Amino acid sequence: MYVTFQQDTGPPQWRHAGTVNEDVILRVRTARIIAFVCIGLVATETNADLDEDASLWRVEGAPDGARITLATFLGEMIPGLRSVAGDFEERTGIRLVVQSIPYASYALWVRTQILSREPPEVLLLEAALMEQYGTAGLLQGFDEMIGQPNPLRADHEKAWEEDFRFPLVQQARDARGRLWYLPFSQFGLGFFENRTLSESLGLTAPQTWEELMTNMQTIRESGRTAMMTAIRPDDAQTVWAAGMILEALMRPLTEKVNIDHEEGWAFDPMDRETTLRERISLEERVIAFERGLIDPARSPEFEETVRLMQAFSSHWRGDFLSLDVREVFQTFARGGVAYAMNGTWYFGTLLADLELLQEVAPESVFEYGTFPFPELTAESTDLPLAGGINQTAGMRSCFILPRQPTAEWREEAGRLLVHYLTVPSVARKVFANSQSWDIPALEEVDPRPEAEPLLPSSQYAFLPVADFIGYDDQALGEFWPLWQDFLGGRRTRGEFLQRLSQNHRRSLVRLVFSAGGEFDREFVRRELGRDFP
Amino acid sequence: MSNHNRPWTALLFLSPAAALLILFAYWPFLNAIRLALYRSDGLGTEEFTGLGNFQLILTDSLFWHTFGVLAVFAILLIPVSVIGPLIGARLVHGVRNARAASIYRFLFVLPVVVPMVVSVLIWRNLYAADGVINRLLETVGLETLTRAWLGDPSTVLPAIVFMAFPFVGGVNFLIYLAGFNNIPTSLYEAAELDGASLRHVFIKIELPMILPQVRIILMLAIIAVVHSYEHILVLTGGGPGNATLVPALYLFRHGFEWGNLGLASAVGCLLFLMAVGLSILNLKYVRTAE
Repeated sequence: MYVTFQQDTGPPQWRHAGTVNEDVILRVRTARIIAFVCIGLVATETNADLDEDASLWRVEGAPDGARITLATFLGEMIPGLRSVAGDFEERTGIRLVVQSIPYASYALWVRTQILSREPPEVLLLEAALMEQYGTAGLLQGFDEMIGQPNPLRADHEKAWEEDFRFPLVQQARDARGRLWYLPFSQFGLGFFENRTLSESLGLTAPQTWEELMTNMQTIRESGRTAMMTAIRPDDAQTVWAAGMILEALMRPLTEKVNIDHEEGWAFDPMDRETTLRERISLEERVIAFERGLIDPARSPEFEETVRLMQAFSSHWRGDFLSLDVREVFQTFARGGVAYAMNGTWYFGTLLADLELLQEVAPESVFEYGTFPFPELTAESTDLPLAGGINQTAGMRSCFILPRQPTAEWREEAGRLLVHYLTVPSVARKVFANSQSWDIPALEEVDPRPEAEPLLPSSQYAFLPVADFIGYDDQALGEFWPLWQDFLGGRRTRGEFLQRLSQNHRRSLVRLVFSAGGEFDREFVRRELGRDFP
Repeated sequence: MSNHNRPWTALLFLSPAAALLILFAYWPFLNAIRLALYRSDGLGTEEFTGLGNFQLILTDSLFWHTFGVLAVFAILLIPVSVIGPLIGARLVHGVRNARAASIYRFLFVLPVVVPMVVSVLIWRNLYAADGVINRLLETVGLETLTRAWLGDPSTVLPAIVFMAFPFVGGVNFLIYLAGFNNIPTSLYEAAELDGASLRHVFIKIELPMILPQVRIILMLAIIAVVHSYEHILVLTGGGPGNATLVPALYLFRHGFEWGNLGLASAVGCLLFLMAVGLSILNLKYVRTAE
């Protein structure tokens, strides 16, 4: 039996606010000056947390004049990465080349690189569409490394995993529980608000789901647009929101799904420590699916998530099926909408747009604010809640280590580089020299002040037993049309859940096939009394 | 016999082109046929499945849905691709002033140099909720007609077809114009002496004379409709829902996003057979008419 935790619904507080006028311009420019000062300070910061033992920096087999490449489509990170390349070369004797790749069709670019058998040693990308390479044995996994200390850290001996903000490493695992991606920055999902508009209607920042719905209703009744979002693969906010809700609703099922756990393991939904070293395997997921625990068609938690999202969508601007992410940004910056949901990276775009607005249409200035994703309460749902929402949508960028069939030293050099870049003093320098507004994945690296209000404030146990969209790249691709059909009103909730269930099952079947002999059929047979599929 | 008449000289000069053709056209084509018989992720794992991929495709309702979408596109797009440039070429052919004809020719062909993606992005902005089309409708008091053109399954297909506006198509226009220019002036003079109307000249003289061009353009239009997906990928990504998902985009997703290269190759084979079949029908039909 689980305890139902009532959320504390104290008075709403503004987490962050700004004004789009001379003051904003001043703030933006001041921020830039501060950033330069910070860069200077970081540049002079001693790397006390870096182990200077020369033997740690040697890569066995690396030839003289060795060179490795880190490729990324995150253009905003490139100056930061280049700022530490010299230090890396000095320590290792290996030249680091930071290569920029275009965002458009980057997945295809990665494919050609990996098939060339000489891919970049390190990739810094988003994780979407990359899992297939891990499954095909073309990536180095982080599973073993993550439990060990970062060998380049001089200041502590804790497991590397503990250097990262919770629960990013758990979120980075694939459906089989494997870790192909090492988080470097995260999406802090929250709401950006036209505060001038809200205040004119007497609204304050909502802290709970009900308050959010009430606010949106009030805004709509005033004839304004409450919220605008796009439902496309390049604008995944709605999926992150659904994923966070589902994770919270499914938390009470953790013990029923995580049946192959460490001996003596005890689950406490309010204690993140209890899930740090656990993972849900493919076998456990298959068993849970077949038992109906995580089958969208049979799971009350899935149905509740979908119901809440459907209610949420009734407040969005009606053309969400045809919008793309840029239109959402532009309309919000023009003051045409009360709320926009996005990750912290949006600050960069927003501030630039607002600065432009001040110059071309100063009469449209408004004050903006941010508030984190609101909490579910007993009022929001009839289902039992064991803790609330872990307010993180997961990784933004992550390191990926392709296997290097032509030279083993290149794999080692890649691992060394990732260890180096995740030492806090180095990561601080990278972020300080970057134009990134993402929240750094490392606990000891602070985000920019604007992004701080969207730092996840709650940390409940996190062991996601189900994935809202499905369990592989194909499931993700098949999800979007289904989601659009449902939110667009062309499928009922029941139809949507039935189709989603079919997609989930097919993705599990594909994963079982690709796992081949690694899939523990005996365990599944013992638990289910039959084979799967 | 001079050097250029010797067969080996011709072979020598043809061989680079032939080699490239074999390497980049025939080899991938033959390899795709082979891959269609395998379960392959394109990353090294291959498992022979015989006709398994074809069975999977043919039992996938989404695949048949894509053919429904393709049929709508074909019905709407092929006629305008064939007739639009024909009208444009005929009108320009009828311009007596050489300078004006030259200017019109230039204007009709100019859009060819605009990259497809640029054109698609312009149209996306036109169709946007705050775009020019909706703004114009509001301005003339027709706000009830404004809508999310690309977000509504009932309007998205016509909206995509309308992107070809004004339907004169640069290359097709040139092919037709060359056909019109090749019609002997003696035929026009004879028709004029006989007192034939413009309509009669077009139906009795011009149309039969440019029938080979019609046949080519029809074939090109069929192949383009069957194979093209790029503008849909950029504009709607196949959405909303699967409202604009065509077979070629279905192939692209399986092959390049989801790692089902064998299955994608099987879709490619089916599309190839379909294009060949339709082209044969076209040749047969148009030849009969000829």
